[in-house]
Amino acid sequence: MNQVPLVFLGLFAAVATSFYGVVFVPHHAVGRAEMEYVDDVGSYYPSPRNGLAQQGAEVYRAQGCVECHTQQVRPKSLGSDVARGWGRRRTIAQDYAQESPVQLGSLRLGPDLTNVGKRQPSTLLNLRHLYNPRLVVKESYMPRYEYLFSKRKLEGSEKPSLNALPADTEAGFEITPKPDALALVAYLQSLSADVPLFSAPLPPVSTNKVSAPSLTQKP
Amino acid sequence: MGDTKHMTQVSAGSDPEGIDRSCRWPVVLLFAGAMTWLLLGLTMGLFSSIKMHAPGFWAQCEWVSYGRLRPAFMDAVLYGFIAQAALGCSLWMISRLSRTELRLPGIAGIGALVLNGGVAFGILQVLAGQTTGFTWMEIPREGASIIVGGYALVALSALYTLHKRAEKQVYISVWFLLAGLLVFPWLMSMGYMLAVVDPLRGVMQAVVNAYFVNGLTYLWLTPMALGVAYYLLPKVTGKALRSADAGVFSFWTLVIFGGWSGLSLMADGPLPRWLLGVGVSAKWLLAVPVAAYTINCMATWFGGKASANEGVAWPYVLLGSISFPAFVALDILSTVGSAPRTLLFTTYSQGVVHLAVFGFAALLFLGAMAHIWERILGASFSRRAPFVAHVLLSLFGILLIVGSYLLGGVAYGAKLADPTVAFTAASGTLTAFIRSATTGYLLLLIAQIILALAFLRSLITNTAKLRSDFCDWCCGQRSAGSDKKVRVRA
Repeated sequence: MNQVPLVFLGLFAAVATSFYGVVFVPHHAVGRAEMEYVDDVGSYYPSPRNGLAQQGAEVYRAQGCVECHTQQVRPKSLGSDVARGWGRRRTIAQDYAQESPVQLGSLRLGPDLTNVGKRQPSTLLNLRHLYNPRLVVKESYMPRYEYLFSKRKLEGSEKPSLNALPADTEAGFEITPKPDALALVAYLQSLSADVPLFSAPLPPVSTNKVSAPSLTQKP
Repeated sequence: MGDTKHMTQVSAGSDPEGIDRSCRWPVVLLFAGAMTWLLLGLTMGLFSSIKMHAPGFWAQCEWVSYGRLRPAFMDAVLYGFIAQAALGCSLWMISRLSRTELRLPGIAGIGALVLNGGVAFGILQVLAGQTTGFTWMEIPREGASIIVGGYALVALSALYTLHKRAEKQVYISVWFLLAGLLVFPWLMSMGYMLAVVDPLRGVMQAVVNAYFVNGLTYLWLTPMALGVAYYLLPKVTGKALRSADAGVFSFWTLVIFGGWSGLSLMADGPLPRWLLGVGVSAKWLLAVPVAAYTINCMATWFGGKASANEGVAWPYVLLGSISFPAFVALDILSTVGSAPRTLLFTTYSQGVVHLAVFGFAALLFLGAMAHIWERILGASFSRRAPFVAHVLLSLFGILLIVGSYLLGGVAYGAKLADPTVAFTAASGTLTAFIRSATTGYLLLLIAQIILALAFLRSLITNTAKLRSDFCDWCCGQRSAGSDKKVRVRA
C-alpha cells in the first residue's frame, strides 16, 4: 500500500482541525472586540493612542522590551498581579483591541507594564530610568538605554540645555533625550487598562459600600 | 535542470554509496550552514545571558541590546541550525530509505544557499530593530519569506525523491520527516499572514503567535527530531525497531494533540477560560505519543539481540531520547493545578524550551549529522576524542542552562507569588541562577566549537572528493574519477 498520500491527508486533517479549534474559534469568540462607549467613564474604550505614543509603541517593539516585560494582568485568584498593584482588574481581550502588534509577553524579568502609565506618570522619572535604571531602582537589572540619548561633555561653567536631564544624572555631561526616548516615554505613559468593563469590572473600593467605582478613586 | 541526467541514474542508483554520493553536495552545504549558525547563535545566546546579570555589558551598542540579541539567538538556532540540520538529515535519510538517489540536488543546493541568505538577512533585520515583536517570529516578513522559499526548495527535492522511491515500504522515519517538511512552510506562512502581513485584531495576534510557537515545537521540531531518532535507533543499537505500529501510533497522536495544545501557552491570558482549558487538555494528552516513543525506544534498546551496531551517534540518541519525555513532562507539569500561578512568566518556560531545542532536537541532529557526515564523505572520523568531549561538555552545558532556568523559575515564582516580597527582591533571586546558565552557554559553545572543528578537519581531508563531485554536479557529467572530468557546458 502506498502510505504517503495517507500521511499527507491525515496530517492535513490534523493540522486543519487544530487550526480551526485554536485560531478560528477564538477569532469568533474574541477577535471582533471593538471600541465601545463606557458609561462609567463617559468615553470610548480602548481609544487609539496619540501620534507620539504610537511612535513609542514602535520603539517598544524595536527594542524588544517584550522579552522582559509582560502586558497582561491575571485575575485576582490566579497570582499576585492585582495584589502587587500591577492592575486593579484582570485584562481581557477587549483591552488589546487597538494594539498592533500585541505585546503580551511571556517572561517577567521586569515588572508588568499594563498600567505603568497610571503607576509611573512622570516624564522625567521615566527618562532617567531609561537612561540608567539604577538611578531610579538601585537593584535593577534592566539594560541602560544610553543610545536613546545624546551625551555631550560640558565645557567649563556651561549649563546643560533646558531639555536635558537634570545635572545630577551624570556630572559634567549634558544628556538630552532623542526623539525615540520621548516617544517611548509617551507610550509608557499611555499604558493603562483601568477602565471598568462589563466582563472585567473594577473591584469595589470599600467592602461595606456598594457603588460604581470611578477612575478618580485611587487603588 | 538536468532531468535526463537523473533518469539515467535511476536503475544504477540503489547502492548505498551511489545514494550517499548523490546527497553529498547539498547535505554538506546544509550541515556546514547549520554548524555555522549554531556557533553564531550560541555566541549570541552567551552574550545575551551575560547581559541578563550584567546590564552594563556592551550597553552603548544598540545592535546588541538584550531585547534584540535574545530573539536573534533563538532565531539563529531555530532557522539557521535546526532547520538546516533537519533538512540535511531529511534529504539523506529519505534517499537512503527510498533506496534511490537524491533527485533535484541542484535545487536542494540552491535552496540551502537561499535559506542561509534569508537567515543572515533576517537576523540582521532583528538586530537592526525591525523585529515584528512576536516570539520566534521576530524576523520580519522579508527575511522570513526568503527562509520559507529556501526551505521549500530543499523540501521539494526531498519530496520528489520520495515520489520516485524504489522501496515500497515507507519507514516511520519518513512519516515524521515528511510531516516536518510540509508543516514548516505552512506554519510560517499562516503565522506571518495572520499576525504580521494582514494582522488579526488585538489579542488574536497573540493567539496566532501561541499556535505558531507551539506548532513549531510539536509539529515541526519534534517530528523532525523523532524522525531522526527512529532512523538512528536501530542503527546505534544494532536491533530492529521493536514495534513499527507503536511508531505509527506515536505519529498520529503527536500530530493531533500537538496542534491542539497551542493555547496552553497563553495560560491565564486574556481569553475565555474554556479556550485555554482545551489547550491545556491537549497538552496533557501529548503524554500519549511520548509514552509510545519512550516505551518503544526502551524495548528496542534493552530487548532483543544486537547485530553489528554503528557507533558514533549512540550517546546522542540516548540523551535525545531521555530529553524528549523530560521536556514534555516538564511542559505538562507547568500547566497542572496551581503550578501556573507560580511558574507562569518565570524562566521556567525558558528551561523547557532549552531542553527541547538543545537537549532533545540539537543533540539528535548533531548525532545524525556525525553519522551522515561519515557516509557522505566516505570516511570515518579518525578520532573519537572530539565526540566524547562534545557529548560531555554539551551534557553539562545543557544541564546547567536547563537546571538554572527551571530551578530559578521555581525560586523566583515562589517569591513573585507572595505580594509582600518586593519585586526587585524577587527578581534578584534569579541573578545567581542566570550566572550559572551563562556558564552553561559557555560550555555548550565550547562543545560545538570542538565538534565543528572535527567536521571541518574531516571535510578538509576529503576536499578532493568534494571537488570532483562539485564539477560533476555543476556540469551535469558523472565521471568515474576526479581525473576524468568532461566539461559539457558551452
